[in-house]
Amino acid sequence: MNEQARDKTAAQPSSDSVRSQVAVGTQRTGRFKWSNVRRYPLISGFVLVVLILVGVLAPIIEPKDPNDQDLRARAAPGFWNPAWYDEHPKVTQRYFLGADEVGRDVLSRMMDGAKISLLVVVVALGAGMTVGTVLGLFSGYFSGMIDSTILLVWNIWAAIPFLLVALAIASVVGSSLAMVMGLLAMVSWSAFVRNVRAEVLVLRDRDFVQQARISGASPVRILWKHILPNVINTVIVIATLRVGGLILAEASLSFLGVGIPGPQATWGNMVADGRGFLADAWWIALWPGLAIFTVVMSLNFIGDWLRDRWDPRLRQV
Amino acid sequence: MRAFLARRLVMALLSLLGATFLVFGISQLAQDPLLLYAKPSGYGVSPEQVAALRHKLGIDRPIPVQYVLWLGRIFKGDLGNSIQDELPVRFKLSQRIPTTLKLGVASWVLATMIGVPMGVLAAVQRGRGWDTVGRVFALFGQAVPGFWLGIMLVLVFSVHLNWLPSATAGNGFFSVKHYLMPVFVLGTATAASYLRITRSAMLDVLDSEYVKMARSKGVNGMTVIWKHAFRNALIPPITVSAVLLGSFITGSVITETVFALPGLGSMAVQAVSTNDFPLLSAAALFFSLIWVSVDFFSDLVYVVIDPRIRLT
Repeated sequence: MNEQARDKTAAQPSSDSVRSQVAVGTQRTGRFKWSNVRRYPLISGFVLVVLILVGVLAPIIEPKDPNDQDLRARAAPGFWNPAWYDEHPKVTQRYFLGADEVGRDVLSRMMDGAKISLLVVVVALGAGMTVGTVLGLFSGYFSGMIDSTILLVWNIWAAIPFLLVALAIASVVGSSLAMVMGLLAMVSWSAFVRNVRAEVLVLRDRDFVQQARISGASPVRILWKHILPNVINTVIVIATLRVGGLILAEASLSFLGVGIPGPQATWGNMVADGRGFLADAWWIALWPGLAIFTVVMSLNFIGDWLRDRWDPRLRQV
Repeated sequence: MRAFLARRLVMALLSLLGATFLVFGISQLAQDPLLLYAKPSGYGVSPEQVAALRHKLGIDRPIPVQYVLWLGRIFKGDLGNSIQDELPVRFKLSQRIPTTLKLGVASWVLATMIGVPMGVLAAVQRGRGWDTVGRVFALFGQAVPGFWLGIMLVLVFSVHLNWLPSATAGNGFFSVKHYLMPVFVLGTATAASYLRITRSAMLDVLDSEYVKMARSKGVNGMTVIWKHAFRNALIPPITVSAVLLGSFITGSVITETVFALPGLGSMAVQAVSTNDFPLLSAAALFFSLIWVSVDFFSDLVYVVIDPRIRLT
């Protein structure tokens, strides 16, 4: 209840119920309402917007160069321990979230890492989504050879322990940004195939598709113009639900040392770096991990919300 | 039924072949495994010696041929020798597998014991009390990066409080103290998934006519939940069991690395850094084998639990 409403009810306690109804009515004025926080994923949306802004603007808003070392400031603590800077007068700069084992600014590196996470997810998910949706459309619409071939590939794919393949590739080809994107795209396509296929199997027999077929529309046209618009909601919902997992996967690869190679900062390799300095400098590992956690949680939250709104049938994904 | 089983079996075998061939092929595609012994130039190794070594390791033939030979030897129980220390791969596996299995089974048991009952409870108390707890737990468990959670647990419980040891598996069959943190890390995400799936399955079932019928007949509340509803809500959690156990493969590699447990996952990571392809292929074979057989058995259980399922 906001201030105004409380004043009104306090002024006329005799008609409490009427007043509170009026108060509810006056609440519809675009001001902040707690009920909206429960109804819409506002906090998660805010986190997502911040992530995108930080990722896109990273080179501009980074307080320091993410790869700039200052050995005098190695393992310098952040805002929680200002006394440290008094003891070390030679360190002239302040590190808000502390500095890592070679005196690089943790905050700037996290911003740089946000850029990488964003880039990897957009490319990997975009590729996986396109391939998965197209295969799902074909697999569902054409029965017979095409369908069973796609299903067979899908089944074999599902049995591959991807982390081991990633490890093997990384040791052979060496890891790079492009390789991580490719690997994650390879992981992400399969969820789309299964769900899109299931949807198409139902849509295929609906009247509007039959009529399009009778009118002589080619299969590609039917898929593109008539079926795709009906499955696009599902595709978007699955994509949203997968984003969090992909960020986690990228971070895990980086953590194992087969992700994006240093000195480029990623949230995963920052945690890996900090692991060796836990006793002396816990902040190196804490903050980037917290960033992964917050972002993935927000994305999952938004994904859940979208699914409940757009496609409640997907509840079991 | 028999045709269904046969098809599933063929599929499982094909998957197994595909997966192992991929890892086998990749692990020696670009980098010459001989580099483990000698750099391409220097050390006074003559071309003849290199060729002899190549022949001895069996890597002088095309990869598909090598793969077939490797498969043939597996059926005789010979997994080859590790390139790095020339110990038999079978011996190395037998040292490592128990740790991984213990970790996996304990985590799975923990995840099931937390996730499934909490999912039922959350569905029954929809929108109230336990449902809120469950939602928070599910969000946490699915979003927290396992490696980071592990490191933070080590920071708090090993470094600062000094309650729990890290970086060893301890002595004896199963040292609770040593396995507590790894099992917790590996089990949390899985418990969260179980919770979500069980909750949504229970919600669907609790909404159905026969549950309402049972309630209006005056059947005791507990009986309705556990006997009428729960049994029918079991299928989705069992179906995902396969997927979740699959995620254990990734999870165990990471967890074993974080806690320095001497399991198969950490062995695979080491095998990669030394390009020890017999070891890596064997690890891939083992992991795929687990994955494929779990998938297969979950299909079987599925049919047993719900006879209505059409065997197509």
